[in-house]
Amino acid sequence: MKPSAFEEKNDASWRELERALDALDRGKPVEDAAKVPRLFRQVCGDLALAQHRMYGRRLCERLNVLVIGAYQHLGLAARRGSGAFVRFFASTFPRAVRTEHRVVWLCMALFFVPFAAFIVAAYFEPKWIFALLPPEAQAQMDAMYGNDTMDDYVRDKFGSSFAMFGFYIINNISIHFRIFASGVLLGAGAVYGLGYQGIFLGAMFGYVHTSGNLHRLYTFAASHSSFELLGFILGAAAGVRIGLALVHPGRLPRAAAMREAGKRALPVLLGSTMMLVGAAVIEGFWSGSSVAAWMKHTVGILGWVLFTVYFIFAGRRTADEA
Amino acid sequence: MAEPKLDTLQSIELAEGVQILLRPAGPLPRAWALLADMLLVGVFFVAEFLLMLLLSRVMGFFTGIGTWLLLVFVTYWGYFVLYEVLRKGQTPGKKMMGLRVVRTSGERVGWGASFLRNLVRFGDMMPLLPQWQLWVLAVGFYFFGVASCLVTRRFQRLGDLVADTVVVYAREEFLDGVTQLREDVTPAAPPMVLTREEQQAFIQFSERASSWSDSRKEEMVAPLAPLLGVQGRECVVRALAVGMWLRES
Repeated sequence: MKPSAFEEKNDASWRELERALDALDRGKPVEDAAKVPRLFRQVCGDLALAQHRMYGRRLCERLNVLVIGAYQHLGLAARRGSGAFVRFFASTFPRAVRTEHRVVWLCMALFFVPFAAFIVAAYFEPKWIFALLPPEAQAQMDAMYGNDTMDDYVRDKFGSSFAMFGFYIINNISIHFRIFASGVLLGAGAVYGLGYQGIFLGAMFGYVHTSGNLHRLYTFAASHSSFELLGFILGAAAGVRIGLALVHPGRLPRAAAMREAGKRALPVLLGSTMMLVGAAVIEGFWSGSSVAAWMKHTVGILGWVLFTVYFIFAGRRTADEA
Repeated sequence: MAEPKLDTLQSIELAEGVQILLRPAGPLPRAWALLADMLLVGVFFVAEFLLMLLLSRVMGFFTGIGTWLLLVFVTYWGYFVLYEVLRKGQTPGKKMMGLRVVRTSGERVGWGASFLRNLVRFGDMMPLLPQWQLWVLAVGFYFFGVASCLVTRRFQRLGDLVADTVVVYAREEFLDGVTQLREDVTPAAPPMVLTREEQQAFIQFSERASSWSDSRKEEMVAPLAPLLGVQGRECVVRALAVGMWLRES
């Protein structure tokens, strides 16, 4: 059969599929939607024929575009429904964290070792802090957590809390994303980002220990600390997971190792991002509010205890199903 | 490693038993698309700033600032993800350049893959120069992205590798070269039996001939001269005739 005859014979059904796909692309209702799968199978056969009989590039390209278009519409993943969100936090996320426990512990150490080291160092030798915190930062710390400042840091108005919430979202989650993304570069970025945060926060805490009002600092930081620190650390762990796949792909080719690492890192990244959103909500609306200090402390301790329990035990029973 | 190929086409076999061809896009068209997208993001930022000024008048300064910060956050980190998922793999810039993001299997990108590839974008855009950073919103030079594009077969940047995606041409520009031939050709049968690959070579030669200069065409068919029994321009016409005959029969 000549290509022109082939085209003439099948043109009507190709056009029908083209029209249906066009309507789908524009989100309009398709007449005879039930016919689309049959048309798709037919056009697949036509493409195979055209390729085999070498009907030329124009015809093959037309059919190729048609098949890809139909495939992309028919191959859509089924919607996972509203249960997906619950299932994610009930099992997928904690299980993914447990699978990656080695990088998670590594990132914990990368953050907490410099953090603790600086608090201890500042306790014995305050000069360490002055090496890190410039005078402006010290002045700011004095203003926020000094001994002689009044309790005017409490934000009573809804508006200012909302503004701070927006600030925490854009600042903290951007830093979180950046630490994750730079982890992909052989893990180096995440190591640097976490280490830097650890050192800087350690210096801040150390400074307040020596010359500030500890009670105020802890009262403010307690409630959201678990969400924020663990969120950062898990995000960095997700990045390091991918970066390590590049350094040490194991038995896989590097590209395949990165792909696999991406799949494993995604739930950790999503979960940790949600933790940081939680941290921003708490930090914006609760930590700065006029709630009694003991309540904030309680919430803070509860957060750490619950997260520990959550990451150790959540989703263990569903392990067989997934 | 598969044997080296002459073109960048990626063939993928579907469950239906048919092969589709994807044509990955190189760094240059993607750079233009990115530039257009960045300009559009800039326009969004300006619009959001104006909205902030309006909101702070109407609803109070802090509410305006808070809304603005959230909008800027969503724009900066969500622009690519939202467009790619909701617009079938095409941001406005990619649409302008006729590009589309798909999975390497040819399927459409979903939320997870798009989210991954666009977060890793920050790693791809390294190195950042300090003066190009707008607080947490950075613009970089895509050194790693370009390097990764150049060493991978499908022009994938790091984000594409992690998310298992590839940027392809959405629609092929199929000019049918045969209709624009400058030579006067009547189809003629080949002088001997040809294998599939040889037939394909003749067909593609006739389809693409109109895009080459005469001397280039003569150079290309020179090895065929002993087979077809003619030289130079005559040989080109003979080769085209064979191509057209194979194509039409």
